[in-house]
Amino acid sequence: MGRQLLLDKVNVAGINTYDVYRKEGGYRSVEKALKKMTPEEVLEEVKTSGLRGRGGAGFPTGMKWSFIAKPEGVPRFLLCNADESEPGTFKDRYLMEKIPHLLVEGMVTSSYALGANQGYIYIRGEYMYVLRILEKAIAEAYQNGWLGKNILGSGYDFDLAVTCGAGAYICGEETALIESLEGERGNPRIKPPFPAVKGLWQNPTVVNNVETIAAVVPIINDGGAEYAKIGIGRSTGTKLISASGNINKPGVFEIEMNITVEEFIYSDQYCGGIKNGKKLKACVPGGSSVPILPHYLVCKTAAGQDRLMSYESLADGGFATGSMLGSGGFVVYDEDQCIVRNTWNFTRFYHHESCGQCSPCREGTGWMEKVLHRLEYGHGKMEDIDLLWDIQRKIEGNTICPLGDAAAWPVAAAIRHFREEFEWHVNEPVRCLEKNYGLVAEKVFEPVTA
Amino acid sequence: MTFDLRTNNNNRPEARETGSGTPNGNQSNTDIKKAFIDGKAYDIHDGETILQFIKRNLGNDLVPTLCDAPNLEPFGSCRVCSVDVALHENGAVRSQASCHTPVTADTWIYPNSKRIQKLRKNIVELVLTDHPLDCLTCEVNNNCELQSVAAKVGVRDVRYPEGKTHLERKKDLSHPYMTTDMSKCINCFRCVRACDEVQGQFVLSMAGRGFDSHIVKGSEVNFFESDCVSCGACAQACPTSAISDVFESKSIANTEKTRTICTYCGVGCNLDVATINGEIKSIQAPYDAEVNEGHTCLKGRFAFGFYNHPDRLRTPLIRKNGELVPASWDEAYDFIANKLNSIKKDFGPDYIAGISSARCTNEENYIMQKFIRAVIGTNNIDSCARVCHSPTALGLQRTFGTGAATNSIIDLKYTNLIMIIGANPTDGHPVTGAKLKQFAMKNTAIVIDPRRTEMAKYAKYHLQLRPGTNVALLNMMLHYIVKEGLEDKSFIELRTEGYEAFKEHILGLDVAEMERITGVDRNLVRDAAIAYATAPNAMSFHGLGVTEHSQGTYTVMQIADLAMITGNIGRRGVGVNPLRGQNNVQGAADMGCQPHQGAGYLDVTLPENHEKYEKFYGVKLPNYVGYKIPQMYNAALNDKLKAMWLMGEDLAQTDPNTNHVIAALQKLDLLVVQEIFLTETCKYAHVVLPAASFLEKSGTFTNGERRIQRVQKVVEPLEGTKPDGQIIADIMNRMGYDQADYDPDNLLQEIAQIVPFFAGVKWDELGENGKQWPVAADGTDTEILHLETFKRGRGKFMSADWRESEEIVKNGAEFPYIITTNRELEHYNCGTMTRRTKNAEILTEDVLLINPADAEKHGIQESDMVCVISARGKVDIKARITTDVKPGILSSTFHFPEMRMNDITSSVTDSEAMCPEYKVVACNIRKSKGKYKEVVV
Repeated sequence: MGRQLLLDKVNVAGINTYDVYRKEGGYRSVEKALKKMTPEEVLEEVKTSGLRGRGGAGFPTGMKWSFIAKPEGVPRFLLCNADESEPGTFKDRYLMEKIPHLLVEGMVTSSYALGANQGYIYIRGEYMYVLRILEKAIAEAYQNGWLGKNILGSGYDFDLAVTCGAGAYICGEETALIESLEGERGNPRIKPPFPAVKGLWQNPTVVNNVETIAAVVPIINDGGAEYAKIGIGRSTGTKLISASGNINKPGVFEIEMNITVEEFIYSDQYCGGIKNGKKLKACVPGGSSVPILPHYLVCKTAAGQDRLMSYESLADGGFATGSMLGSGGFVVYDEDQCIVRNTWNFTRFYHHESCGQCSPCREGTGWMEKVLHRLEYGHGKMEDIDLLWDIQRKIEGNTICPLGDAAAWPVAAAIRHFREEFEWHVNEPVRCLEKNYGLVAEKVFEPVTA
Repeated sequence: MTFDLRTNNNNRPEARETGSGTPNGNQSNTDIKKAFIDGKAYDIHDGETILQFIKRNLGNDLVPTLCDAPNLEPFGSCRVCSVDVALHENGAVRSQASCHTPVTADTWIYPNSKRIQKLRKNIVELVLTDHPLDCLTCEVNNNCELQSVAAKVGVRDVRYPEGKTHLERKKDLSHPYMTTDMSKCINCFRCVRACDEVQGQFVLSMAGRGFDSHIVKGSEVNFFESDCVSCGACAQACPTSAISDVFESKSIANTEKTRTICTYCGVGCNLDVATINGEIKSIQAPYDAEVNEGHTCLKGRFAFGFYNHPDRLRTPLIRKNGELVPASWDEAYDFIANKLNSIKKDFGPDYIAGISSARCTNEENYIMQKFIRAVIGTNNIDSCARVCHSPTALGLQRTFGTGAATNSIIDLKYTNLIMIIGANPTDGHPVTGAKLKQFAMKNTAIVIDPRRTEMAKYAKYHLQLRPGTNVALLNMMLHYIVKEGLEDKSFIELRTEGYEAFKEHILGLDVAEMERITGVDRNLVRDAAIAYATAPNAMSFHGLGVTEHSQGTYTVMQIADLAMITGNIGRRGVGVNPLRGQNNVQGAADMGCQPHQGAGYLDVTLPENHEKYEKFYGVKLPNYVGYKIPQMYNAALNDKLKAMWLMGEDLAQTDPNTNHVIAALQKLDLLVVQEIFLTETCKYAHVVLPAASFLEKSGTFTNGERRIQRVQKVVEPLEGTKPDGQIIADIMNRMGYDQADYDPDNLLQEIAQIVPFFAGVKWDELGENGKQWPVAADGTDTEILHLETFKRGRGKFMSADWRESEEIVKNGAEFPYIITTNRELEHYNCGTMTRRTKNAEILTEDVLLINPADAEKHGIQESDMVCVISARGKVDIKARITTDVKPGILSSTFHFPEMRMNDITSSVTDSEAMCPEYKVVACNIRKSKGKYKEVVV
């Protein structure tokens, strides 16, 4: 096991309470920042750390913070995106549930750097019980002077509230999140203007993922340079990975970003290998949106090098032979899994979650789902595969927000790497159904609606 | 998006720099940026999108769009407008939605690359999978944006097989005007945005997510039950027939279109009227109209059904044996001419009076006053401007020198603060009202009104004063501006006179007393005054809540004082802007329909003017001032007036103190009424002449911003009717004056010779958007008055002390409540026209607004009948309990004749301009007995 910066105290009894958290060294970053550092110095440390956004896009956090507009007399906001809804991703829930004060502490320190006096944690509605945990942590932080007016006598005020979504994946997109927080329908906004200029209530706003904000705590405590020593290249520090699928030890792991994928899958410290001794078929390394990798591209890149659990290495080869680290939702498929079914399942999700604003996504996700359903249930035609390819091409890059891309990429990658399996579904429609559902031939062609 | 339609940048000093909010002007030439379209370089304008850039250089048709609309903000949802963009020549391209992506310098744009064409085709194909494709039977066949775009991108088949669609959605036909057929919806959000951005009503929204997203009205109710104000903006914005109206206004079956001007208020909206076989089919609002920019209200868009209503008068009527009986035109003309000649002979011309109409054209008003002055030989000519904005004309003449709005509505795009005094524009002037509401939602607004109007709900400051205390309140504002040292000293020094005496008066006022009188917290007044004085550019708007008071003219002068003391005159985004009530109330006064001034506001008593008019008309004219409307009633009652000629004026319903009015009318030997319907006044007429409506004649209207616009005949006059102007011309000839037939072109030529500010007005040169007077001989018009100097030289400060209305002094003790009258959106004044349209199904009756505390005191519950009693009379009216009025204050309308609301209003008038005080009536209330008793129990 490598260094643990976020989850090191996760197993300390009572770490979810203020007293234990404080005793274990909590809120030191706030003390350090507010008493010894200027906001600019905090920002510099974050820049030095090389921290990149942990929500999926991997944008350098220090740079994002430096974009925030600072007009006179206009309030600024820090929003924490806890609308963790990407299929295969559950790391933020784990973090908030286990060590809620780490997020609260990170919010105070980060807001100080941004000059924001108000922050909101926007949490997905399904995490209601986590919301209660956070509310308790926030109340404790207020009681102990880490939130509110004149924190630590520094003259800096910061208020924090937690607010919940109502079950829409789209509200994890930062501008839709802002709309939702304002009480509007959660539709993404067109950009520009970017939130750093006009965000919440048209004021400068930064939206960061839970893990990103939590990572600011060790960065300030130990210094950005120390943090940057971990990992490799531009993938510095540690990353929480939500591992699931056909593995022996599913769960949340904090990894240093230089271990190999092979180690992550097969080492007992992490996933512990494929369940039931089966063979690896494919892997989605960064949540449902990122391209799926076939087994021969999981542990090695196309160039034959070891693939590492880092932003760069997982993306090596582009979409042709690579994928993305994304949100760290690491899903492993064994040899028995049906790729068409998996793709249909993902597409069904995106169809359900499309906000309906852009026509390519609203209509296109629906058609992809229908075509995939048809293929999976034995009604497919060979030209459906090309049709599917065509639709995803028209969605990708042609929508206001990245949900369209997220819906298109898994379909594209599945066809790219598993075309034979799609063709097999067309040529021998019954085989998959028998295998996967135990259906007998005469029942197979019953019309099934999505 | 700035939707600036103006191209002729004449004489427009820009608003003061504010750092933000004002659109970019022409950029400096020092660093011209360029981008490339298909390899060819074009200059970029600051802040424009790729789509605007392409349209500006290569026309509207190059890039197809679905969710984009001319009067809406970019939205970017349909993605059909996508274009390829590369950072360098032959570089890697990315598709970007051109409608909302700002154009970047040195980028290479390929609007119609193969890739893009395929993309568009695929997107439209996806949209068509959930569309009925019943084009041949669709209302918008051949006028459908989806159809055109599909044709343009060349969709030939839909490759996606049958599946779940929304084709089963039911039509909503609940509303008298608005219809929906949501199976045709393509989720472009244009209706939602039109409702939000154009009207600001927020009725339509998108519910559901993704494929299930669908347009809803309110909380999923039908159109009729929703808060819809039937402006029709959504229907006009909808690219398909998903939202339309009962007139099928988007149907291309309406082959002929005529552009004309709306007659329902002083905004002056341009209308595109579609006709089929000489019958009016529907009305839409042209996007290129500077006044209304593609918008109009339910009156303008839908309330045209009156024009061929069975009730329309179709033949002259003469009273014989107490009954009005049909007669021929000749018979009627002879009857009138004989009677007028004999009255003239027996008593003299001053025993005859005429009232012109602000609903009629400039040319008709001109010819009407010419008839009364040159043919009858008296200055007893007035118009309905008397009962609405006469104090504005007088007050602004005294302070600035010109009785008209100083600025234009387009200035709202350049101002930082608006102050609305005694006006309810969202009901009375809906299109300007919508713009004001949009402004108030984003910026600072001050509303001074006894009622919590819709504008007040959006305003930062609502000064809810007692009716009749405008002068006290504005004095408080002036006081605080001076006291805080916020006056614009250099403006006062350079441009005005009389300031020292004014300042002394203002500083000597007793604020505590004013606070008590108005009932408005002095700190709130102070904050509002400071906001107005410190805004870089502030515009004021006022309505009848200013003028229809005993101190109306003084209030107008104070509004002028406020503008002068803060230097808010003579540039973009400032000024004093009366919201003129009727469509041509400005024009009626301009044309000389007032007893003291002839055409062009020349004082008839001054020898040089008198001589000029005599020479021009070729007859002898009186050189003394004639009767104003209220004086006419008194004259009639005192046997000093024997005949009245009314051109489209319903005195018996609209003038205050009805019983007094009727008594006067009954005394007359001859009452001639030109009308389109048999109004309340016709009941007392000796001759009724059937006139043509505005849809049946040509001419010009002058709107509230001095814009002279062309009214064009849409259909032939109903058989048996004549344009008002023709009727007057006929009678002039009949009485021996050689007058050519009514023809706006000829009459404008005559007017241009006598009205100085019409010097350059020519029928053929008015164009689609008209011209704002003064129009110089070379045809140059004027958006903003008083640029360098005031019309009268220096602006004059006028101070005034508040005086209690005579009505309250006399009757206040016995009648402790104050009722103030107002208007509702759906009906126009006495409702002669709107009550004969389906508007009457939307708003069915007059109601009394009453505060819950007062209601409780009298045991009145919602919808109970209430008896309102004043010193003149009493009316029974249904209660609507609301906190929009303060305790002690009541409010109602007089749209419905059966209510006879004006039975209770008073004969008190403005001390200067004699405008009646409709806004302050002392009254008492009780729960109704009598015929409505059973309703109560």
